[in-house]
Amino acid sequence: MGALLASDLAVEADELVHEVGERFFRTPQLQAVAVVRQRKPVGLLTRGRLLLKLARGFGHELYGRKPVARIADNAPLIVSEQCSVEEAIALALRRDPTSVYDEIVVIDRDGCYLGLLPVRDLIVQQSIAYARRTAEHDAALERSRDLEKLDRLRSQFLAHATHELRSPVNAIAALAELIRDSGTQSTSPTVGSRLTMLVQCTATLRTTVNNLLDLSRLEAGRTELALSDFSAGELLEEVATTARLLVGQKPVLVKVETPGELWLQTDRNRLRQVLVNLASNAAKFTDQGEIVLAVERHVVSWCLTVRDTGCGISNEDLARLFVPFGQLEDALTKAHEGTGLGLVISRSLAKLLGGRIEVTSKVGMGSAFSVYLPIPKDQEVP
Amino acid sequence: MSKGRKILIIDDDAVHLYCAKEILEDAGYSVVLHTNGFGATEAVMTNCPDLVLLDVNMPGLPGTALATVLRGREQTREVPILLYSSNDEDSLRRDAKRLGLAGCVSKGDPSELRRAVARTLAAATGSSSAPPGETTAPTRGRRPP
Repeated sequence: MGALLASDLAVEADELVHEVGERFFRTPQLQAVAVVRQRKPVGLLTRGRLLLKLARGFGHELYGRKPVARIADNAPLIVSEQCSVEEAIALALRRDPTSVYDEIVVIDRDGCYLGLLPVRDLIVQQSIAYARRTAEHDAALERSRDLEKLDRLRSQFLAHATHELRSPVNAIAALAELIRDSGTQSTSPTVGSRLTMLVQCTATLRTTVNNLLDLSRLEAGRTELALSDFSAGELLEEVATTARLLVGQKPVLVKVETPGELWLQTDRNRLRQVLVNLASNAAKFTDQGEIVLAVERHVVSWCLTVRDTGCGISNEDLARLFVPFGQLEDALTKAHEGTGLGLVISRSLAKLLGGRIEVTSKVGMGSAFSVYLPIPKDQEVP
Repeated sequence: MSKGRKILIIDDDAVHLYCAKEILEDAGYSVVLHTNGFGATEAVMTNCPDLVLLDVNMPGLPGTALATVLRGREQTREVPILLYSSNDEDSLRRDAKRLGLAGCVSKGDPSELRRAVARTLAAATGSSSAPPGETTAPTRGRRPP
């Protein structure tokens, strides 16, 4: 409250009315003075009250030579400096309508006069505080909503990762036990088929573990780049070979499209990881048609695209495709294997290489994922 | 004891389906398989199993939702259901309890699976005379590796 005081002007109770009037006349911005006796406030004289007294018929003659205490408001609102803004406002507004906007007299612990407080300033102050609180409240609410969402996504992710890690481990454990038992009683084909499943489960588990480790390394910023010059066509052929293996027996043609020899300069292994990931997604979600791996040189960037004729992605799913943990929301009922970390990792890798991934897709028609990588300045076409 | 009794296993994962089938057949049970949540009610009605071993994470219809459906129908209400999953064991136990199922068993431990199945079948057989509390099944802690 003390900080809000507008003035500490005071006049002694014995001072004459016409002298005080002079002061008001000389200082147009002066709105009110406190009337004190031995430092204790005994009244309040506002400009309005003074003018009213002096301007009425013979006012000046009647009061001019009288002590100011005669015309002052002898029961002004007096509050202690410890009083809260809200309390002071409440007290001020409870006053008679004619004096509701009169200054509030503030005193210290000992009852001595400290200063005057304009009600208008007080209300402005209160509004500012209120607005700030509202804004702070809104911001806090927003933050807590974000945190809640993140927390929910994290626990979903954890539940999902737990399941994806445990499921193959459990299968491996059960299969190992079955093989141990069959060693004594069954024929070798049974053992053979059990071993095949064992190997597949181990591979699934290894992929999941690697993905999780990659992601945490990327998020911790601990991935280093090894730049080299290499042929885009050769890299795409390599990726195509992997994609053909993954497509298996499905009637899907995997082909590479390049505009002649094109050399890239980036981290070959990281780019390969991104492309293999995009291609294996294409292989997973395409039942027939084709998967095209293409490269093009744009003005400032190379564009490598994996295009398929698969099931496509709805607009709603597109929005959360690259949100970490976001794509895991229906882990309980999802139809395809995997932790869904591949795209998150790919996007992080593309970013690490200075580029980005863009996707266009239409449900039932297919998807196209493009990796844009910046062309180093010295290689740009003039 | 309860050899020759019929168990329906519902799981979308081929390897887990195979493992559970082998484990239970080796233990002398007759096993019927169903590969997803859809048509499972039908499978229960046609096969009249003595017990249903139900996976939780399945595309389209999770095991927990399927269990609710099975418990809600007159013809499938009585069959004991064991949740069978790689999920966190605590949440598995909570789900089984919340849905009022016979119990749950974590994947990956063949002997635990055999024990849980035997115990649930034994409890179900005596359920006409035994108080309902005893039909609630085995939700033991995981064995140390």
